[in-house]
Parts: sequence; C-alpha cells; structure tokens
Amino acid sequence: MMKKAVNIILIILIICINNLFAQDNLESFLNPLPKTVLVQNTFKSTRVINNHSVEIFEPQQLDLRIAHRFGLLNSGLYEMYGLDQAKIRIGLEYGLMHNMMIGFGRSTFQKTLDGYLKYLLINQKKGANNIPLTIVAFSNIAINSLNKNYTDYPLLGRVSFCHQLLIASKINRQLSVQFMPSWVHWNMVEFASQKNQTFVLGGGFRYLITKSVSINSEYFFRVNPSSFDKENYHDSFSIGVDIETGGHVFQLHVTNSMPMHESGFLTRTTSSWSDGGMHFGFNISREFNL
Amino acid sequence: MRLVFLTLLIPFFCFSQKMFVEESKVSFFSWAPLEDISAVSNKLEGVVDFETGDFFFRAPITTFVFPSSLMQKHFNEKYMESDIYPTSYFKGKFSKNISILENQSTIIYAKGVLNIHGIDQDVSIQTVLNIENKKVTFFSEFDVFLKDYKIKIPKIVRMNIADTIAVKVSGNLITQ
Repeated sequence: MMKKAVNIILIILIICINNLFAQDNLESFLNPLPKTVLVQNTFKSTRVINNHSVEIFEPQQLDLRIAHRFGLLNSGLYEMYGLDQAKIRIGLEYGLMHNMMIGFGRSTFQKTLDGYLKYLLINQKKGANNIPLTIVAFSNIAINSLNKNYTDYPLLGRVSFCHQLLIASKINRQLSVQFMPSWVHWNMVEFASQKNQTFVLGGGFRYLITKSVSINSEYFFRVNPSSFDKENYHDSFSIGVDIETGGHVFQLHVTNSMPMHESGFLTRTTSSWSDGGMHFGFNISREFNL
Repeated sequence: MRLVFLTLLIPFFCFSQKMFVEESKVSFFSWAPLEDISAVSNKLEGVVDFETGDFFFRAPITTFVFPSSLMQKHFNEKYMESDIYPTSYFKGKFSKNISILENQSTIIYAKGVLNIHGIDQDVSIQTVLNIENKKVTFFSEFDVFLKDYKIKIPKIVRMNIADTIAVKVSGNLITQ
C-alpha cells in the first residue's frame, strides 16, 4: 500500500516536471551556447605605441596609417619645442587572412621603406578551454633609400631586419599587457665596434580609463648592446593615450624614439628621457573595407 | 515501479509542434546626421511551440557583421559588451493560437521579454506569419530605444549613432 502511494507520487512529480520543462525551457531545445569564447580587442590599435600589438585586421580590411614624430621637446621656443621638425611615416596595412596581415610603409627618417608580416599563432580564449595568452609572430624588413651623397652602403648593406614574438594577455576589460622578445639584425653597421645583432626585450601595456580612452606605455631593454651602442643609443621608452572616435583611433604619445620602423626605434634611438630628449608624436589610422 | 520508469518516457512520445529557425536574417539600421550604420546577422536561433504559442529566439551578438570591422569592434566592445552579454533573446507567447495545418497569412503579436545588453523589457512585436503546406515564414519590424537597454552613446559620436535603432527580423521555421 505504502509502496503504491510512493509510486503514484513519483509519477505525478515526473509529469509535473515534464510539463515544466515543456513550457519554460524552450531554450534547452536549441544548441547549447559555446563554452569557450575568443578574447578579442586586446589593444585598440595594431600598435601599442611604436611597436606592433597583437591586433590583426580582418581579411580585406585596408588601413591607411599616418605616423608623426616631431622634433625634440627640449629644443626650445625657436624650434617651437620640436614642432618645426617632423618625421612622417605613411603606411598601408591589409588583412590577408583571418590570422595574417601585411603592411608597407615609407618614412622620412632616412627615407626608409619597410614591410612586415604578422601572423597569429595562438589566440587567447576564455571559458572551458582556457588559453591565457595571445601569441603573434612578427617580421619586419627595412631598407634605407638615402642617395649616394649621404651613404655609400651597397644595396644589401642598407637592409635591416626585426623578428619578434608578441605575447599578450588581456587580464581584464581594462588592462592588457604585452611582452615582446625581439631580435634585430643590421646587415651593415657604421663602425666595427657595433654589433649587427641585438636582442631586445620589450614590455608594454594598455589601461582603459573610459571606454574610448586608454593609457599605453612600452619599454624596450637591449640585452647585448656593444659599448658603442650603449653610449650613443638609448633604450626606447614611450607613454601615450589612445583616443577612439567613430572610425578612427588617434594615438598621442611622448617617446624618445624618432624612427618609426622596428629595427630603428629598437636599436637606433638617439635621445634619452633623462636629458629631456623626448618627441611628441601621434598616429592616425583610417580604415577602408574593400 | 515499472510504471514510474514508463512515465519518464512520456516526453519522448508527446506529440509536439515545435518548429525551429532554419534560415534567418536579423538586420538593424541607425540613421544619424553624420553616418548611416547597418549590420546583419543570419545566425538567429529559435524555437516555436505552436501548441502552446510559446517561443524563444536568440541572436548571438558577435555574429552581426558590419560594413566596417572597426564598427563591429566598437559595437561588441563599447556598446553591446558582448563579452558579458553574448546573446540577445526574446521569449514569450503569441497573442493567438495558430494552427500550422492551415494555409494562411496572418498578423499576430508576439508578446514577451526582449533582453538586450542584459536588460529585460516587456515588448509586443507585430509579426507577419505565412503558413503554406506546413512551411512557416515570419517577418517583423520594430524599433529599439538604446536608452531602454542602458546602451550609452558617448558625446563624441552623438552625431554618428541614432537613439532609435530600426530592427528587421525574417526567416522560416521547420520541424526537426
């Protein structure tokens, strides 16, 4: 008798539960939502400041990027604190595949032409399959095209390379950090006491203040500079803000590097923060979808 | 006890008229002085129980495609915050019972809760239903006020983004 009562109660319960599910949980009939999501927008732009960030364009996205570095801030009122001189780099960047982009640019600094390729190796993921890092491989080749009156280097001697691993993590919505082990190679250097190869360790971050404004900074430490390089060149350090409007990202910054290509600012930064040798600079990019 | 186990099987035998979204198109438009913005997703998911009139529709926010990928980035990161609110959903009940055995073209109201950006709002959306040989197609148009869903537009882009977004949803339903 007792057993029968229990059975009946169980049956009623199960029918009730069935009905509940049938009415309230239509969502359960759909495919479950993905448990792992890609972490995106680690940085606002393809540059932290001078150096590339892990951001990669979508396929067929073309971007016109204009970078300016003004003269030295400590050059006095006569030079309008550097505004009278400026170096400019005009570049085009293009997304080839969802994980690869290329770019090309020319800067007035030593009339340098440079091209690069950026390839996404690992994308940070959140959720069931957690991957804490985004890793991007980056290679840049640059050649100066100064005429013979300025330099008598042969064509190959004017070429320099930079290879980097960009290792970034978006720690939370505000803070992203990036670590940048780099290898710079100059085919020809000015003096025998200089080294062709320099290893550089870089670190950078961005911190969002509001949804549209972030503070960025980056620092590059040369691991094995020759004594000549140590004396005449300095480690690159930059600090700046990214301001995002509808279709543009404006990057304003103060940096001690004048060159805008990798091998240049990593190993040929001539001024130093310690004696006020900073440059004001900005990057503007405008994207087009082809 | 055997009867108890048998009742567990009831849902499998129950005849139900659940239909699922097969093909779909969700698009929205913003007309502002400086810029017209539009985006499309064809990844709407949904299920309608014509027996009870209940429905559930869901659109993953990251599937909306914009003409510019920078816009898409801003849409996800700054306005919809799709890392926290990955989907928008609409669940509720139709205003009247519809038999899918009858060929008809009818206008009904879908009443329920529309959730965008994590905010619930009660809405009633006019929908055109077309039923032909048990094939169901639907179409509806409605406006979304960004304020209702706490989507804030910064002053700097006030002239680029409208306060009211016009949404169009269309698609067809099939039994599975």
